[in-house]
Amino acid sequence: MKKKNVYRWMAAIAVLTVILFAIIYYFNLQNKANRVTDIGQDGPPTFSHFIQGDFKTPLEKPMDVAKIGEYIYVTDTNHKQVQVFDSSSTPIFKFGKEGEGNGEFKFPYGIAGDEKGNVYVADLYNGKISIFNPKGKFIRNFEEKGSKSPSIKSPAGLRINHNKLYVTDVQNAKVLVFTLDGKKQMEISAGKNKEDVLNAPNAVAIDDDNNIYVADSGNQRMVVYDKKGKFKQVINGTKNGKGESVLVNPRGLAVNAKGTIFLVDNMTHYVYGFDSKGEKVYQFGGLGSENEQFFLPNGLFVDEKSQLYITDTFNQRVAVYY
Amino acid sequence: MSKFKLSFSLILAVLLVGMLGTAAFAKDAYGLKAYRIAGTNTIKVDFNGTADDTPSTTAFTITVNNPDNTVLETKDITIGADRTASYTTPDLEIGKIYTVLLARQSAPTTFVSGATITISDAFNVEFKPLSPEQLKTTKINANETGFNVLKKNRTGHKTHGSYQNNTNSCASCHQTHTAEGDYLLFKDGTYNTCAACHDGTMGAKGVFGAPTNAGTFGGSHDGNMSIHMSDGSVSVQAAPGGNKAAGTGSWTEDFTCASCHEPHGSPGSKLLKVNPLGLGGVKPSDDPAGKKFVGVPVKDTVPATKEANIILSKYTVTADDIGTDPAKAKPGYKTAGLTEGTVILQTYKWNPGANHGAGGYSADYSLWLQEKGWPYKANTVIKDSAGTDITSQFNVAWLDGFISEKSGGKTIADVATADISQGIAVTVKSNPESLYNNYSADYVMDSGVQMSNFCSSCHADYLSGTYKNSDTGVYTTAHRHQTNTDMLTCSRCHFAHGTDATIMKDASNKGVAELTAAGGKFDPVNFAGDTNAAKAAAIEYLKDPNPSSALKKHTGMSVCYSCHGSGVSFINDPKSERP
Repeated sequence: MKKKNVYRWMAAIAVLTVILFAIIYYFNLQNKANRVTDIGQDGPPTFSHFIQGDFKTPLEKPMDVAKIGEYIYVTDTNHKQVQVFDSSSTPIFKFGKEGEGNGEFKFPYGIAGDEKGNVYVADLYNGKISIFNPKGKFIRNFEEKGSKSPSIKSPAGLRINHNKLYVTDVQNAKVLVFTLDGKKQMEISAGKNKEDVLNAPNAVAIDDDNNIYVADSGNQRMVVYDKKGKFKQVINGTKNGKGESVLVNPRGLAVNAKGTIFLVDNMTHYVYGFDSKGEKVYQFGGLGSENEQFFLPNGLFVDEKSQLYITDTFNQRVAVYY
Repeated sequence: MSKFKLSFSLILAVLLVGMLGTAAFAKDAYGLKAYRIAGTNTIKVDFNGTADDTPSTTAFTITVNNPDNTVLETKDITIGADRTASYTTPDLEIGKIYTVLLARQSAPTTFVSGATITISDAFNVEFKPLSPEQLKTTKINANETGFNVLKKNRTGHKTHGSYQNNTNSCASCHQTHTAEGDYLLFKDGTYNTCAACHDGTMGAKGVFGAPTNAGTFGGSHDGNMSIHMSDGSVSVQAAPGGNKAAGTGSWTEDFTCASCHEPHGSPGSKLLKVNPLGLGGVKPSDDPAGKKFVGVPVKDTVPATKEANIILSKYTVTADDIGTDPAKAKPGYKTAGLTEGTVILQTYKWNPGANHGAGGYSADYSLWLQEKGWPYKANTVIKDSAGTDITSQFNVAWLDGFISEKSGGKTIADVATADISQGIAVTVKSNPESLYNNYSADYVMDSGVQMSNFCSSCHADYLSGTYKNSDTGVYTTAHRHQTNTDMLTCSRCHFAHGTDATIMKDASNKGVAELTAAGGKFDPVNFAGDTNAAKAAAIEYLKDPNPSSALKKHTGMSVCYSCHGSGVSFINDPKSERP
């Protein structure tokens, strides 16, 4: 065979091989779509690093976290303060001290920020929500308007969305929605009917359609409502939320830009990812103190880049995932 | 570029694509795959042998583990001539994570492949191959938490008590090899372990922050707090009113949450212990609060005068006892299935305050303790005239303290004496008035006096049957407030956990919220609208001037006035008959 023909054969074999692999690749994808949903297909978040806290006072029982502006704010609950970190997780400053006065805490818990970067901190024991500027200077306590007796008794989870403040009240077993100037807009206290009352709700999240997600901790479930507070569904890790819940003490939750709902399950030490229909997509974590493990995790926040911040409460740290 | 180089480059590219492609599509050598069988909750699992396996002779064992890692099914399968095999699981529960493990039956007999599978919805199966590290061992490492199935608590199982034979609840509080505290507690000390979860985030089960019926441990010095020191920093013998002569061993224990509560379960409310301090094993002669009564006499009728602190007497069940009128019914009899006319032996206790101070016996429905071994031995034994234990010859209502005859057993007439170890079962409903207000719909008969009995297991001298006694002024014999009746229980005036000005009330039953409401004593309008100033004034008003370990529900001595004055000022009240 002439050398020229050898080259042609080799080139033809190469082209055919590439085509063959392309075909295999195509059918493999088709098969995968029809046959098996790989638990990691949509990509559970990847562990990045931990935020441990100030060197002198490492975090102690961090309960919740929020990224507000460029800073990451963590309720350092046992120290009765808020620790603040920059976007590279370097400690910047902290604020708050033990007490009942303005800007003081007894059990700082839920944390959220408004469009101005002001920081709202719920105090479960003091029964109030304190507002600070981005630098941690106390501005005022959140005051409810037009009510003879305050609706908030034991605030836990906070979210601010479209200038509305969403508050879960553990003792009152309610989710309260206010304008930022204190007018009560809505009150949610039950699931699918009046008798299906909430039990110790610890966290709330809002998605892009303003649907409301509530961690109904005492009932071992997440309850979803539309923007008007009308019941939509229960999510508990089973088909249509109708089976026996796989959750044990669900806590922090958030929805990312893709619509994935993240939920911290405190007593199983896992974080679950659910799709927009409430079906479990994946879970990650588990009991332990190594990377990608949790010990009674509690709070969860998703930032605009879909980075996850999870307070790994009894490992005394915040785990960051991307 | 020469044609040779071009061709060489093309071949190289092909090889690279091939290698990468192979890597990208790499499956384990056994090709484990899972399919949902349409319309069922079963999974078809396919796999194949490798070049090392001989068709028709190489046998595998496939195992499906439940989410809790117990075995759901194991089957032996031999690969076919084409080196492939197929297996179908039993029905699986949607949403739960199962593990499929494939093992060779011949050497090497290790697990060769595995995956977790979950039926996620009507069409899809989540399939996650196990890593080689996870397959290296056939057992899950107790400290390995990376497995998807490991949980601290099993779905539907209680954390405290009611343990099932496949329980995993121990892991809620204990860590086998990495515990911080004694008893393998995951936090250092009982108090810290309990507080880790009961920090207020669990609503009504919280013991800090917003008060429960038991008050709060979250009081502050600024509010003149008074806290039941259950963090292990003091011993039980520090209890005010405690009066133990020699001590029982438990008397010198550190006082912790577990001194009152039984984290492993209890028939009483709020996990309250039925045998606090082990007093069910202590004779009253050794300890005033002891609950072990030896040689209890058996009577045909209830005597009018005192013969012993505790007696057993015959009682004939009436229609009212098992009727529907809650004021007359005795739920324990109905629960035991007794019928009208049945003769039982019921416990009776001498009550010195009965009959206007003359004393008398009243039925006592305290539970009887059974020998359960460690830690505090306490047992109830029914005996015949020869002293033989005939307890098993009767139906014993342990929870309500009586016996009835059972078919083929001994008769009531055969009972000559008994040793009774009494427990304390407090029944509490959400309304605290269930303990002392018989007008309350939630009132639970006898539970108030059981509450006093419970507190008095440590605060022994505070259990009093009469407000009149000697003039000695010492605990044991002083004039003192009656506490051992169902209406005057300790919990009427005291919280169990703690208190401070933010949760105390005044005699008119008003706390900070009521006092600072519109029209209240500290209405913010009287403070230029400053709610903080109004609240501060209310807290100052409610501070107990004598903060101590009193755990009072009402500030100062208004705790007396809340009942005796009904919250209405009688000073200068012409209608008042008080001196």
